[in-house]
Amino acid sequence: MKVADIIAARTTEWQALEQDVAWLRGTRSRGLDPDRVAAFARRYRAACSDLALATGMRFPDGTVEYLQQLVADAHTQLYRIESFSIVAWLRSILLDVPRQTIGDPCTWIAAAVFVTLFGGGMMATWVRPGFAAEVVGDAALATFESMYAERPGTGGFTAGRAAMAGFYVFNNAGIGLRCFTGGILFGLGSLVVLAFNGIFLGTVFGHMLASTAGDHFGEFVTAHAPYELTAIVLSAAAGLRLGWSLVDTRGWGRWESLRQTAPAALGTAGLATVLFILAAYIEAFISPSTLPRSAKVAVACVSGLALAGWFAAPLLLVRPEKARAD
Amino acid sequence: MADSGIRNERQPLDTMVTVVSPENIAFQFRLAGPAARMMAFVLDALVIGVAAAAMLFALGILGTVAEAFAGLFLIALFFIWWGYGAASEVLANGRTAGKAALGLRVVSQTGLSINPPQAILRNLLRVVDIAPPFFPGVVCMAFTRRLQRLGDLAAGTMVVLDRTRRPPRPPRVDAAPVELVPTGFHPDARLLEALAAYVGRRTDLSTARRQELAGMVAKRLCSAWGTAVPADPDALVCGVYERAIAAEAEAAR
Repeated sequence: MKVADIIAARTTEWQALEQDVAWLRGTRSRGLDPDRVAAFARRYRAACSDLALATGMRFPDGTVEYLQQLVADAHTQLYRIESFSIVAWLRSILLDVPRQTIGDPCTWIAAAVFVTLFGGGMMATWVRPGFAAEVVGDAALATFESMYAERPGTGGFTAGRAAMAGFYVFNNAGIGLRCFTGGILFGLGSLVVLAFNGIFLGTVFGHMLASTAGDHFGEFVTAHAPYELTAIVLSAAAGLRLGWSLVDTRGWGRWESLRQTAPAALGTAGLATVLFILAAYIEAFISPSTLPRSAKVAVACVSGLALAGWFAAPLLLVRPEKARAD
Repeated sequence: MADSGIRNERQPLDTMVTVVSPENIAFQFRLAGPAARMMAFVLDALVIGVAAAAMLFALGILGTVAEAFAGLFLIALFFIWWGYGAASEVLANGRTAGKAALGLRVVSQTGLSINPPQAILRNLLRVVDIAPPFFPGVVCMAFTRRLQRLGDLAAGTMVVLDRTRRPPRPPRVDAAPVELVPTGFHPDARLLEALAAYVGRRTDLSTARRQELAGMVAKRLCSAWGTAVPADPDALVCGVYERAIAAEAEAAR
């Protein structure tokens, strides 16, 4: 049989497969015509064997290249990943993400670094009077003091709360994501952002709480602090997780180790982003409001408990024998 | 499966990546280089910029209520900036607008289409990849076989060129004089490869050029066989090719 005959005989099938690929590209996997899907699978296997034949028998280059592309396209459609299911998604959010986050030493290292530097910054402002001015700058301190000179809600903060919410989301969650991604540089990017925030926030807290505006400042930050501070720590923890996978490769190749770790780190980073967004709305609408101080403390308690409950849920909800070994 | 280990000897060690499917068939992707990907990124940045400008313009028209809407604008900007790439790659078969314009596509290293976590991860990590002054992504592309930036390495993805697809034209060989070829003659692999390339492209050549090219091969073949060079060397070369293919097909059976 001549090459030309083989190609001529098969071209109709190949073009039919091309049409199948184009058809599958525009669809989701539910409710497809089963006969056509079966025909597609058959044509794909036929094209595979045609490609093997064409390569083995040295068909002209154009034919081989065409078949390569055709088989690659069909392969992408046949083995496409559409495993999205609500159950798997809920399972991931309610069980996997909290369990991975809690069980990850990076979370606790990030938390320890943050708490230590935050506490250190706070102490330093009390021990050494000029410390806050050295770290934050006189102008910034003066701004902070004037911002909180009045009780939240009595002035200054009433207008444009929605705008502030947008700004907090854009800015804070953006910083959180940058903190996470910086972790790929062996964790250094995350550590720098985490350390900076720890020292800066600690110093500002220390200075403001001791100043005349201390009460107002404390009242303002209470409501959103649980989500915001947790989010900072978790962003850095996710970044550290990513960076550490490049250091301790657990027997994988370095990049393979990164690939294996990335989904878990992404889960933690996603959680941090959600917390940043929640914190942004609380910071924009509740923190500066005229609600009594006790209400803001209650918000803080509820958010702290919700967070703790969500972390504890996998331990309480899943019976030990049902917990998967992975 | 990512590293197949099967290398096609015919392909030079360049921007081709071979993937082996479960059907045990190897097919190849052509990787996209940094220049094309940079262009795609610039186009995508323009798309985001235009979307943001359009939203700002709408806010300007709304005027009085703008302050509340400014918040929505920033939230939208946050999601567009961080999510545009991932969303379009998931929904449009691995292509953002910029990639589609340049004929690029993101696929998993295994040749499959990418899933949402992969798309999110590689798009988040872009901020690191394009961070001056060292541009880690570009450096990384220079040192990885699949031209991957850090985001690609973490997500296990690669950016490939979608080649334009033309159905192959069957090589038209009319009445190839197979009988002129000595029965014991088998071209070696390199000659066969050259013959395949010639037969595949000969219809694109003028008759004179065909005869000229084929004549060079025919002259050497005929002097080796001790026969006279035929009047139509093009047909002879086609005959040699057909004979060789038939012999291979016979051997395969």
